[in-house]
Amino acid sequence: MKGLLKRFSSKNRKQRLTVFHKLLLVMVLAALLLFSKGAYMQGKAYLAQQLLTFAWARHQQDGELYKAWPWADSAPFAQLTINEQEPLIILSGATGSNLAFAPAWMVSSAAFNQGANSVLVGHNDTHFKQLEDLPPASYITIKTYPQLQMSYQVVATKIVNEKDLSVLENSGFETITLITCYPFDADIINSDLRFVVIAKRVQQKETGV
Amino acid sequence: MRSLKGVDNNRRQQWLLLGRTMAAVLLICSSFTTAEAVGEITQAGLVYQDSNGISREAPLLSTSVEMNVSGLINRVSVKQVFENDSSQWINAVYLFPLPENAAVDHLTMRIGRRVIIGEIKQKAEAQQIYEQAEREGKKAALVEQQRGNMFTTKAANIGPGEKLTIEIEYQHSVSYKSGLFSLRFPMAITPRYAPAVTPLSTEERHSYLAGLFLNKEQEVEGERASQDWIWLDKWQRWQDAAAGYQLAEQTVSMIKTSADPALLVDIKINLHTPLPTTDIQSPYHGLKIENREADFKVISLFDSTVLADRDFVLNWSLQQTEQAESSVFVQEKAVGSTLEKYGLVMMVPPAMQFTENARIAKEVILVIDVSGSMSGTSIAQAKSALSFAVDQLAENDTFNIIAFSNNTEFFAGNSLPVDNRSRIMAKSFINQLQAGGGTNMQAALNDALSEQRTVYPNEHKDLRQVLFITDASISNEEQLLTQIKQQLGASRLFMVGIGSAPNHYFMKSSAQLGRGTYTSIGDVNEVRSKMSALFTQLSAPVLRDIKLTWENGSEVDYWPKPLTDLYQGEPLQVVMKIPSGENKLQVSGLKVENGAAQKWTQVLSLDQEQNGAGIDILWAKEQIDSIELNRELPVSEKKQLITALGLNYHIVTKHTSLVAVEQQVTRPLMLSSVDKQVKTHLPKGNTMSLPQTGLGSGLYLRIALMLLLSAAVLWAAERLLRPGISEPRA
Repeated sequence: MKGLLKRFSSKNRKQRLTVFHKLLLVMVLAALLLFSKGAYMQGKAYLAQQLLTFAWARHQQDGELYKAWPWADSAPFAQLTINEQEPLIILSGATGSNLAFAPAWMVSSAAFNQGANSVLVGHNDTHFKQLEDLPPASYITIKTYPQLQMSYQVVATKIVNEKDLSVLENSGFETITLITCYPFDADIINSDLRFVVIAKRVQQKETGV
Repeated sequence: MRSLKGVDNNRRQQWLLLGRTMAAVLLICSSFTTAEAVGEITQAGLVYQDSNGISREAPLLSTSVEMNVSGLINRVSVKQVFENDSSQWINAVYLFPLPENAAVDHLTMRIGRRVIIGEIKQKAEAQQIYEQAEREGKKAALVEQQRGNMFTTKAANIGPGEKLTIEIEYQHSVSYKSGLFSLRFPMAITPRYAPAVTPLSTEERHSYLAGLFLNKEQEVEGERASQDWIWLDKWQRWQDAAAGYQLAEQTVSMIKTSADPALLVDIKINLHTPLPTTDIQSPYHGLKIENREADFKVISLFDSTVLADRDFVLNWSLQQTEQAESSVFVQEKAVGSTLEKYGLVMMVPPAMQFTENARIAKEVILVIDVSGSMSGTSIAQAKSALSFAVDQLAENDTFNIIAFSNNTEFFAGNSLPVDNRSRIMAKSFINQLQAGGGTNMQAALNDALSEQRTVYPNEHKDLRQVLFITDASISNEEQLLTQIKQQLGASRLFMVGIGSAPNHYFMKSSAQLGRGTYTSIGDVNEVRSKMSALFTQLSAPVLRDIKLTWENGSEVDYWPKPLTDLYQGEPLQVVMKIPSGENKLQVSGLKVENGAAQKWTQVLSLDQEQNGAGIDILWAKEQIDSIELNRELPVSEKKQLITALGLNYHIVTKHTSLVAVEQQVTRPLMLSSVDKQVKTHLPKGNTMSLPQTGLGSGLYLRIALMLLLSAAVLWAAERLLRPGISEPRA
């Protein structure tokens, strides 16, 4: 009787352990999968910027267009600096594939230095995450080839509905408009709100250092 | 057996415990994340802010619209009554849409019995005048064009309890198609959001109350007064913030239910027509129609006022046995000592009896963009539009499909006749298309517009339609437009824009240069309706290469330019300046009949014209619109031309605004006024939206962390519990 019980319980225990450990294993695996997915997005965004910066440097030297990697959709379009932060390379065309790598210029908006409104779009969890803590009256600098540098100063930030296309229009001034999803870092992946930063062209960035 | 049960019980207990721990862990984790999310969401609400970042409630507004339709011109007066029911002086801002081709040319501000007429000024100058008046405490009104057909009215210094009436007048031409006249008054726009401001904290409120009591005891004059001002200001801010929050909640729920009693519109239409009307109706609103005379009707809304949440549309047709071929309106305008003559011509070219047998055989080239930018929903929309197009082709047409990304891929070596077999082949070709690679539109245009791969039906090289389905995610616009201009030849280019943000400017311009039309499809659900409308049009062209000259061959100063081709049921509608001595207008073009193009000419006499008013404004407005679309003009020159036209013809444009200022100061200068924005309504069925830019990689990382944490806790709990369970067994 005792032996039988022992066998029973040990069998039971073994089974119990496997079920439990399976559950743990599944949880850890799921965690790793999700983690790698999140890390992949962040990593892709980071790595792409490094490669784009390299291609941009070559472009600045001789004016030829270099693709950051052989199968890239588009070549670097301009360089964006927000408040002396790490410069970001911009691509042309706000498509899903471009946005994974870099902030993108909306082709339907005006080109830079045209006296109209140029619109840049970026992901709120990678490149444009910094917009969340953007101090008022920040400076934004755009560099294009050949060595053309334009400074803008932030005049307004607002939150608009995704259907509100007014932010894409020209205001009669030379402006740059940065758009990203709102709220930042939210648990809503397809938010219908957008955070918009409007900056007006200024003559020369005042160096207050 | 008992011990067995015991083990079983223990096991259950253990699982229960584990379950509870897990639930607790999950709860804690999720409470972290949701707390964060909630905290952020409350930041976004529909609140209007003044310049100090303080949120305010909106002033009341009622709108009444009176339209006077005579012939082809609709003159509309829009009265906006701003009513300030607060206890402060306010500045109101109201953003509203007007019809696409509306020319705003009058502004009248009424305060009680005083009437102030607005003047046209350059935009910056008008803004300056308005802002100065606002600072000085004078009543002022400013009408500006924001973008396209969106306008704002600003009204400064409306006193507590006061009513300010701002009357705007505009005119536009009534649209006509297939015997049906129609006019539209847009009423809804998309909402705009502004972050709410946090209300005063509890401490601030307490110190405010404490301050009140303190001040009661301090009876020192002067100091008391200044203290009062500070506290009054704080109190006001606190109340405003609270009101702002309330409004935010109200408006958000209003947007959800799309009903708001605060914004009502009343519409009245005086319809004068040259012939008796038949069948007057509005698709979205109930009408009350009063028959004054055979050719004069007074129309009003059945419900005296409606919610401004959907556009008002009025359609009517004229009673007649034969289609009126043309109507001409002439206006004489004295400018200084000279007399200027303006003419408005509407002409319906000899309509063909359209039957299946007489259908014109044509070649249709369908071009689809399969570059990387089209991946996702765009390619699905494009493919569904393409297969719908293949279905719509007629049996005696020929067609070919070109898919392009880095390089171009042809469906067939030469264009194929349309039959069941080629349709099925085309469908399978469409199905296998996948998005990827770059956008080489230059090569695609070259292939689509060159005629090497063409088999023309009936050997007539007359009708060749190129349907270009793309999101136009390109940066060499100028080059492509030049290419279209050079290579177009006899082909017609119809652009179909796909996705939420196609390059509208490029699409519109290339359709204009390609003498076709531009259709934008923003949603898969729109594919069917928009494509079938396009195909109905494509299948019945009537007149092309339209030219206008005076009888002696001299140039006509007409707008819009260039003239597009005419399709079944469409009229030629053009506004021109008539030089003295000219009264015979020659209209020529190529008429497509039985598959062949014939030269067609008609001479219109401008002698037996009807008198019209406001044609000069229509002429200027058409010219402004054409200048805006003209790509060859540099931005600065466009601005110059538009400003000059706006100032000369008293029209609100991108660069000119109407401003009215009362000379008398009405607001006591010690009181300041606050800015308020009037609520606007959500449209029904707008599909365009800004790009999606949140992937939620942070969320994935957070969930992963949460899962790992719970796994660790479970594992630890199990380790701790195990000795406790084995005890009774030992």
